[in-house]
Amino acid sequence: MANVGSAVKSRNGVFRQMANQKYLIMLALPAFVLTLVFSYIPLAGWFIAFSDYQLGFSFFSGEWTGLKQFRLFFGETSDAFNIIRNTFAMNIMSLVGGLGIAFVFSLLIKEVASGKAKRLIQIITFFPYFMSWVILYSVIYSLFSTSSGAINVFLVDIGILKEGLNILGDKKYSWTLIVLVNIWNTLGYNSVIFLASISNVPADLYEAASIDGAGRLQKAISITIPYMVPTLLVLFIMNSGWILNSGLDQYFVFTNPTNRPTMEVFDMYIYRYGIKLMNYSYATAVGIIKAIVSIVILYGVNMLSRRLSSRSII
Amino acid sequence: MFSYLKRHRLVSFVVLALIGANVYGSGGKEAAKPPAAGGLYTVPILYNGALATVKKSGETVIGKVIKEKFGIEFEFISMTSDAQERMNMMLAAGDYPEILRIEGLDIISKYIKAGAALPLDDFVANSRYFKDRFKEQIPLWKLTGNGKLYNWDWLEPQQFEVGLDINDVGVRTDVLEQQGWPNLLSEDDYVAFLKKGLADNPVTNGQKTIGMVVPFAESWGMSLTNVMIEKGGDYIDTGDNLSTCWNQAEGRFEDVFLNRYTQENIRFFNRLYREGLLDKECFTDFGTQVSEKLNSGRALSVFYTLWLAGGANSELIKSGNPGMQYINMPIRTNAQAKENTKRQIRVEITRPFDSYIITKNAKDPKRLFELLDWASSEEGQVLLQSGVEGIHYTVKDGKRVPTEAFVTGMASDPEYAEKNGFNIFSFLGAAKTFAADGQAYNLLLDANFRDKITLTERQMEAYKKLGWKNSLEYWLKTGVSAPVGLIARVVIDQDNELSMLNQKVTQFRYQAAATLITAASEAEYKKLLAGILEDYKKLNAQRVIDEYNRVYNELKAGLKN
Repeated sequence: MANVGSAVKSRNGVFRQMANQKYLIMLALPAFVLTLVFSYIPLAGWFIAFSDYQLGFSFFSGEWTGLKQFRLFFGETSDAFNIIRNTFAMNIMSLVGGLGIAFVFSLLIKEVASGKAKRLIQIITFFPYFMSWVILYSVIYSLFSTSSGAINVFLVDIGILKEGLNILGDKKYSWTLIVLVNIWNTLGYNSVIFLASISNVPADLYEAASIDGAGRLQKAISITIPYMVPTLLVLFIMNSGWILNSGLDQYFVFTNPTNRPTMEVFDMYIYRYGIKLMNYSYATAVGIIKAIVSIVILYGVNMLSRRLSSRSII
Repeated sequence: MFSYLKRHRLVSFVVLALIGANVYGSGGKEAAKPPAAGGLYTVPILYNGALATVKKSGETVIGKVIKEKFGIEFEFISMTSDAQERMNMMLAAGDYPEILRIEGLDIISKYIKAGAALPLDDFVANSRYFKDRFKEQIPLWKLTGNGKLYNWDWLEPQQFEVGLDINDVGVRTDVLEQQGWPNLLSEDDYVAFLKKGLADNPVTNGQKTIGMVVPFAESWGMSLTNVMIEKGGDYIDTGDNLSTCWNQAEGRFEDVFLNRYTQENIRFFNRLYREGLLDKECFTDFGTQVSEKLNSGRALSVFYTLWLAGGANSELIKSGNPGMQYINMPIRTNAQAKENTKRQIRVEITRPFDSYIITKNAKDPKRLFELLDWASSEEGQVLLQSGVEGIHYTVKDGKRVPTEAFVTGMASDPEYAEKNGFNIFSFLGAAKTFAADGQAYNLLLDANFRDKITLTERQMEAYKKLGWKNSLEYWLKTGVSAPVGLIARVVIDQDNELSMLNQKVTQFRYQAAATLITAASEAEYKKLLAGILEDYKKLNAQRVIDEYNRVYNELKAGLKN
């Protein structure tokens, strides 16, 4: 009786709490519904990775094939090795490079005296983040295409190069190209987040440091950077979960027959086999592998961060 | 368990939502209501590309005749996305139009298996013209439907003499003129021509001249590395851009990558690349970029994609550079030129990459098939391909003669064909054969009028200077008809595990070709080739070839019975 009574009391308490927080709940509801509809409900489609899915039929009508598609990915060709290597290499380098350079960049922006100049720099560096990859590729193509790219033509004209570098086609430039493009693309966005953490540094700390005779560099090392480190760690942990998520549109425009061995990442591979070659079961299996590895990495980095710095987000 | 579910309401809700949302896999439409008897029947048609002036077929001269006769009008809906992706998405969603163009046997099979395509046997049995027009094609078309007919193809049937569709190399005519109108043929001819051409014309309209352009970045682009197999004497391309080619002499499928002509093709591109004659941007260029280079005249030549050169010629005339126009010239590997055997020229008995079906969403399939049946008649084909007597042609001594308006319109107005309804009714079929009067149905393919209407003055002058009687003379003389019927129907079913291997072998071939073409030296080429062949052996692609031959023999035996 006492248990029933306390259960009723706690249920009423939950409803009362929900009623009190109804506006907060309504605020969160669209995001919840969006996540549920576009991220969780489609997970039922993972079933086709374990069956012989046929277009035009129900997901659950195909013959059960078990782990066949997973074995194909790891077994038949070197696809698994190339895809995983390319994805990890480009994304880790982009993450480390992007965060590192944005970290330093925001420190430098902080030192800019003029508020107007500071804002102008931020606007200019933030701009590429809003451009679509198709436009970005067009810009890069017009700069770096072998025979007509502005930079290649300039370097050939002044005698530095004999002929234009095939940066967009040659696979030895793939990783460098993608990493630099990603750094350029995310510099503004990442530096805004770091600048936000810098703005939280109490001004009296800088005053005290000035009184103690600390120079700009010492202030940056002793005050600014320690305040930015938590933000850096959070960004690093959050982005580590996305290490295997390269973004289809970027690689769709940059991948071509000559650079495919070093440029093809999970998302492009899934698109190629799933949509273009109509191997839906196989592409779904590869997508599942990607998701599981991403979760493992996220938890791993989170745990590592907790061990090393007592900070984590999970 | 019930109390667990009650306590964990959120988890229960998510699980139920997952199950509930996905129990019903693909959507389906309610059965469409047929149009009122005798009323106007408007049929939406997905059109690849964009029509500049026409939204409905009734706005065109030919379409008006069809509308008055049958009460059927077609509404054109432009589509620019990848055709295969679109077809798959439509099937998955159950959202497809009444008549649908399908590319490839595998997709036709999917539509048939899913019950999306309507069987046409009953209509064909009662048809007046369709079964006669396509008597050779119907048994082959039925192979895909397990003995039932579901689809028909565009540009069928075909005759060798009517409108050879050849794509070799588009070459800039002013450079031919500079070099005394050489009759280019072999790889050596092209290398020498392009070298001299670049030396004489280092810059074109302020930009660096390019030797040869190729749109390798297109989804089908890398399949251009094996087209030379068709320029020799023994082999035909199967047209599916996968791992096989057809040995016409021995009557069997073979591995296209290991084919000597494919190897010579790739080596030719590597030679061009090392000599600085192949556009370094070819692997990042799509058709759009290649068109730009042709439109400006920067490219001395274009490999295979002659349809891009057609548009370029108009642009060159507009920009005041008519002398730079491109013409189609033959190419063979050095070995093929030396052997000089008759070239196997595909005459397609079936075209599975250009098929049409009536889907189960059709409101009145009987009426649609009646129109299709009439379109297969002599009257229908003459209307669809030659137009209306008195407007597009007149009849003199029993022969159709194009009118001045038709000739001028086709030659100078890029929208003339569309406004009059030419080439927009591909779903009603277009026979590439002679009509009852002994002329091609399509006057643009008639030998008496073809060059006069379709070529510019500069092009005609170029062929004359080369010593050719007409633009197809070389191929008509050196080619022999190679009918492609049953071999185009051979496909490995997607349920077969070899289908996946077929795809991997094809992707390997494309990658290998790209690697070999960009080898910096002969020594590097040989080293790379040795490694690639070693890796290729591990794939054991012969299993795929054997399967193709097995399926072919099975189908052949089935046809005989």
